[in-house]
Amino acid sequence: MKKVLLHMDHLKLYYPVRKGVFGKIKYVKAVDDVSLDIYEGEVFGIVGESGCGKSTLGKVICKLIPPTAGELHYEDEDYTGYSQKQMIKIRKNMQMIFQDPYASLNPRMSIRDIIAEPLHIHSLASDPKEIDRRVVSLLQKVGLDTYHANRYPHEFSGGQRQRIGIARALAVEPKLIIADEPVSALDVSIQSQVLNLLNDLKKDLALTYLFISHDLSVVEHICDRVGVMYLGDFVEVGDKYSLYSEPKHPYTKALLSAVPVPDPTAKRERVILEGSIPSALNPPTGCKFHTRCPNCMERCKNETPKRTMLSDTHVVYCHLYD
Amino acid sequence: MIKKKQKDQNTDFSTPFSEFTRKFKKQKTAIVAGGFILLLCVIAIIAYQIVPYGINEYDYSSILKGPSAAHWFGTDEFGRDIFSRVLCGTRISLSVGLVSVTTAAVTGTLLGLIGGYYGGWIDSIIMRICDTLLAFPGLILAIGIVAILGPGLYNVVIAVAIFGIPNFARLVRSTTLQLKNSVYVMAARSLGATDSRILFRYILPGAVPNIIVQYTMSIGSSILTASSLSFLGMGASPPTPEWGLLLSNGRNYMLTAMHVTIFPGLAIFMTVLSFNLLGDGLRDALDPKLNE
Amino acid sequence: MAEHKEKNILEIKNLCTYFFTDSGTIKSVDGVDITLKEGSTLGIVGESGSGKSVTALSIMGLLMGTTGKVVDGKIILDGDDISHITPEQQRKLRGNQIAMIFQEPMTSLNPVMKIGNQIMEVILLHQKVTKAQARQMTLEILKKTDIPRAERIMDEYPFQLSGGQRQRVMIAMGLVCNPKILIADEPTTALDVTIQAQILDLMNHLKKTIGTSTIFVTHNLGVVAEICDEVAVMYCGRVVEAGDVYRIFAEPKHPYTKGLLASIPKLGEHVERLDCIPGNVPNPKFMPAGCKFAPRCAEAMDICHEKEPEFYEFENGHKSKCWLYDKKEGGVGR
Repeated sequence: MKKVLLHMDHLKLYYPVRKGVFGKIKYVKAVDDVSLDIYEGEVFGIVGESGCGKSTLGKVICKLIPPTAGELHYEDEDYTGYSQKQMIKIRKNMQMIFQDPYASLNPRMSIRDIIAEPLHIHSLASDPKEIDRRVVSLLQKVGLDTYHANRYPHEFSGGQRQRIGIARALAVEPKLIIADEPVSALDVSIQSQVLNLLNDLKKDLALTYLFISHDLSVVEHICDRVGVMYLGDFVEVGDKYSLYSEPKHPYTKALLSAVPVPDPTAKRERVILEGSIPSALNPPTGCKFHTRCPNCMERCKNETPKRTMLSDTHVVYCHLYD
Repeated sequence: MIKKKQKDQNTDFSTPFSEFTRKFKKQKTAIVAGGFILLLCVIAIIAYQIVPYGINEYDYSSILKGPSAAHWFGTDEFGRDIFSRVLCGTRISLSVGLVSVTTAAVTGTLLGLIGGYYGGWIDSIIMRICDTLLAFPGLILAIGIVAILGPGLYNVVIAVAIFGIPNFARLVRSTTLQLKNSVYVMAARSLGATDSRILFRYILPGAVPNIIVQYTMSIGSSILTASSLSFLGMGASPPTPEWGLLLSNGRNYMLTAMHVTIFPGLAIFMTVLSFNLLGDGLRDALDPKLNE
Repeated sequence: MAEHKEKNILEIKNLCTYFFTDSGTIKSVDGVDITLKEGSTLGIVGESGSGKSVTALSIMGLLMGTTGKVVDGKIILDGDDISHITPEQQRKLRGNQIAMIFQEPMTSLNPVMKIGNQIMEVILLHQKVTKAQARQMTLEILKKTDIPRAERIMDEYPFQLSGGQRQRVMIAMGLVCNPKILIADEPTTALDVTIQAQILDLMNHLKKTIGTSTIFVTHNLGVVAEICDEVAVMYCGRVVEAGDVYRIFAEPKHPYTKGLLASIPKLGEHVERLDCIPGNVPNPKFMPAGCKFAPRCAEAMDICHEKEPEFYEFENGHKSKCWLYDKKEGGVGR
């Protein structure tokens, strides 16, 4: 049995929103009752479109946003209620890589300072020579040159900045890395460089990844298990092979068929979904996907689907299967 | 070890500071203004050593004489050399300006950082206080404070500082609001940085360009306010050669001996103008678009 | 539609657009040749720094207000040379004979004008019709773009619409005057994958029904394969390969095109490592001599670092700028 590194139990994040000056408070259910286990050494992908809550989920796991309800466990430690001070310990094991390489680095800090920052925060090194040594080693690990350390972010390309962000995350030697759309803002030819780097680092440093992305092809390439989110919930979670070759949930099927294939001769059997993603302020009743689902039944409008285990490694939340 | 700067032929190495210098070099007016201010600073330091006459050297034989070879700016009603008095007044005006604005800047920055970052009731209180202070016309407020505290240069400094705080607080608060949600601040929090580290290492450096511009512009107006207060008799007391006081002295002789008011007035005008021009130039050079 | 395929509705020869900034001149587009056949869809593919968006803006004459200028080249629209027309003449063309759709529909639609009025404004600017006729034309074009409840949408504001609906409105606005060419600059990049599929489906449908000649600028090769008939691949301000879509995907000739195709992860393909193109796009202020792709090219020869190659032609209009195909210079020839 693989070891569970991260455990989420009925995690919820609701944003209160007041409609009008005297209106009632309504809630945006950004993350709506998510329970998931991440195992050591795996790459778990979370895919979904805008508004599904995948980025928010990543931030809640890091406690950048405190959850409204539910529990978060790292290894066996419940860190849901931890204060900022207590979180420092957990943060040493869990680091984040962000989507926008142009915004995630402080423009006024040199690269050396940016990468050394976690070393200072966690008091991992105080001797300047030791810090230099570590910064240099991290830069080399991500494929950059040592003289880059004296430069500033604006002199680097998107791909290089993303590498710096990765080096910064690795400085504390974490076990879990939450990558929030790490290659989405990069050019196509640079994406593959960074994906290869992430793969190599995973093997060299025995890392576990939570890989959040909207790009299904990228997720299929790098992940072992994948979860599909829609409006704050998972609709299907499974190992990559079963999920991609035999998707069960109608949304997963539509999503996979919508991906444009770089082959003009390929036959396209498109499931084109009607309408657009409903507002998270007013999600549909019952199964949230029922308003766009080609297989919608009466039951779907009123009853939230329960979890159905299709196999050891594949679960789906859909009335078609329960 | 990290090699020193290597001139890599494929990139142009630049720090935020060198970018600023490059842009600033293009602001010709600001450079001239800056040069003048530097001159003023030098004068402020060495004035008492270099002036040809003492500031209280009465000479009843040459009263209210116009500019001449002996007295470049002429003499006042006691025969005192105006040139020497104006030069010595530089030290007072500049120090009043610097001390009051620095106090306002430090206090206002702290208030802005705290209010902007934490929000909630702290922010509300700070902002309400600032709004109240800003609702008064500057000079009236300064007069009011000096009336409460009593006349004298120290109280003028306090008054000008108080009236300068809201500008800095608002400025820094708005930058803080903007930056606290930026991705790199979020990244710092995800690394485990404490609030104070984020405030001083991430947010404050982002506000510094705006603070510098506001600082420079404020010195001009604070010198003006201090002079005005002295002119009204609420600031420095005679025989201090403070410029506002010099102006006030010359009030009675405006028609007969204009030089008594013109030169101190010119000194105030040139100083305030220089600071404003420098501030403009700094603002253009420190444009937030630090990268292409 | 097929009978017109041989006529070139747009020809661009040696287009050069430079940006004159205070830190140097940036040659965004440097010698681009493009032909668009009537009724077909041409995809311009490239990454950042390739100059694809600047090319589109140059055709539209939308560089005013920026530091960019078209310094050289000819743009021939349906036989008329529009390279040196006055801004007033350019304005008459825009929306009427050349229309453009942008990437971010939220920022390209006027947020304080109703949808109906925005589209009607385009009609009334270019055609002598009454307001009532313009309204009717607007309704018709909105229906053609499959917007549900077109009547209601006419009276709504952009913020009330979803991303997909706004993009449909943009397409409607582009097509309403029946332009000779439509330029779409990354129209689906900012959309979710399922919405993108809807829009691509719509554009394919409009291709068959209205048949507007289209230039589709994108960095997504999957989208190109879905919707384009011809492709031009750009790198560093130049076209490095052009041809019909089947040939480019099946037999790419230029190492950059080959590298791009090899480096994208494809659904259903399970590889350990992706082939990638090493290095970065060169800094526009420090462009290498010779072929701009040479520093990153695994097959670079000596000549590649010295001189820029010419176009070498293969069958059916497929051409590539690469020394590899010049037998004289040690390449493999065709």
